[in-house]
Amino acid sequence: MHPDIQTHKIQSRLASFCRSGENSGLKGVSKGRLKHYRRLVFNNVNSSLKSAYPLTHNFLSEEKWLKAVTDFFREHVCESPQIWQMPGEFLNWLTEKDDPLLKECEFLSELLLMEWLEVELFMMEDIECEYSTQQNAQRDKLLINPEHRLLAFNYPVHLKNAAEITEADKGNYYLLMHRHPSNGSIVFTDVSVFFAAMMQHLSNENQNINNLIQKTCTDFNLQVNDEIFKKSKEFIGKAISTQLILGFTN
Amino acid sequence: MTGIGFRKDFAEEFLQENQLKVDFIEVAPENWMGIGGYWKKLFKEVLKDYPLYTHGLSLSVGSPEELDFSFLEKIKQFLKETNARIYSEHLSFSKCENAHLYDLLPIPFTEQAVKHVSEKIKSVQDFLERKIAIEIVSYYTPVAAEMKEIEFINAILQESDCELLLDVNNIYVNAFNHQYDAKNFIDHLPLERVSYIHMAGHEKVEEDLIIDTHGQDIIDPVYGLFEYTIRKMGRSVPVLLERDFNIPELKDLQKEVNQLNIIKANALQKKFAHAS
Repeated sequence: MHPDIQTHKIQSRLASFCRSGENSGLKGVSKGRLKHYRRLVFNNVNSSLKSAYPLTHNFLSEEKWLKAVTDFFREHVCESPQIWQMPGEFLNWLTEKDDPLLKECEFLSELLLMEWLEVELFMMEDIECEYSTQQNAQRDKLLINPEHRLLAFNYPVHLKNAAEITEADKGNYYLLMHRHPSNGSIVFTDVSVFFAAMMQHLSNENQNINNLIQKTCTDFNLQVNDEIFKKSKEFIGKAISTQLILGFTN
Repeated sequence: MTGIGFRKDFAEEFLQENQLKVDFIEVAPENWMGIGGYWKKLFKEVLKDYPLYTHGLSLSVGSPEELDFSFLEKIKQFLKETNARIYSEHLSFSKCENAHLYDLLPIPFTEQAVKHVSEKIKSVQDFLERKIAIEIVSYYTPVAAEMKEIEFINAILQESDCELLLDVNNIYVNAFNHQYDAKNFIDHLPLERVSYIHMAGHEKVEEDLIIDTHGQDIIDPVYGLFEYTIRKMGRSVPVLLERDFNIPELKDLQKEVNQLNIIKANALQKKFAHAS
């Protein structure tokens, strides 16, 4: 055998052992010490995942959690050189293979998604944009914070402790998450379907307040009235104060 | 110059309080590149006050497969943006069959590995248009070794013509784990290639095994080996204190930094006194 292939093969076996914990004939090593590599590598991956998904980890039994992490690390080819992105691959892997874990509990995929998007939003690169906090005739279009995610859920994973969520909670929930420009914290806002649609419109296109309210009312076959206008203005005011809406642009 | 491995665990405290005074900071580019928000702001703040040294984790120059040039391009950009003074990596592999393992695995000490790894280090240096420093890693078992560790390391340093990041704690750990003389090992290294030194603590997990945790204070025998190394080198290079886990108060890290400075100064004084 070509020595290059031999060296490659040895490295593959060592890597495979670290990923699976199963030694497939690795020779020329101290077996008593080899276990430390598996332990160190696995612990590193497990702690990164626990840190990204604290709610999911608390909710699942340790046995189920460890099985999911073990299977993931053995089967999945982790692509990102940045370990903070690896938990996103964990979620994709569970989803793509339709892991039985997700079927056990209907809201688990929503809980995982919320937790991952919080990490992703917190870490993502800054998106620069120009806006003013003052509205005027030329600059009257609202600008939504581009560092946001709008999520539609069937379960209130953002409102209740996972252990307390039951089938009776099933419904339509909408969550807006955004990164606060000043302190970088992630702000969670539970919104009605009406305001979720309104923010979706704003996310698609900058627009002034009147157009935004009108467009959203059209979605729901509603006539704009004083009450809707007042509530919408209140919501927008609050969104400006939390910097979900950054300000005004032209 | 003495620096500290800059970690998120104590980043705020480091910036707000003045309890740890160092000459530079070191980060792993992987943990700070392509990010924004809170950490980006904080990183920008710290870069206003400290020169940056970098120590990569994921390039995996010891992998059997080819280099990830798109990742290397991002590293290059990061080094440029941050005006990083040194880019170092590990003489190990952390990726195999394109799967990242997020830890440092020992490369088999083979002739073929020497050729392959040296070529990769040369490619990295060409791509980055700068010399890089390579760190000898701690290892807990040899893997199908065909040659001695020192022969393996020296062959790679020579063939790739790269610099050496001498992690003195790693030499101590390896000497203990594999029962050889640490000073003798250092004697056989090309010390003229050393551009940077790392110092750290470790944990003895078995009677005959130490794990390189960076989670404890530096122990006296490692300080002793550090002094030996500096005297042997006869010149000053930047020294970094690494502390990744079980992080104490910053004033305690300062004591370790001070100790390193004192040892280095004394060792060099003795060397020059001896020479004159």
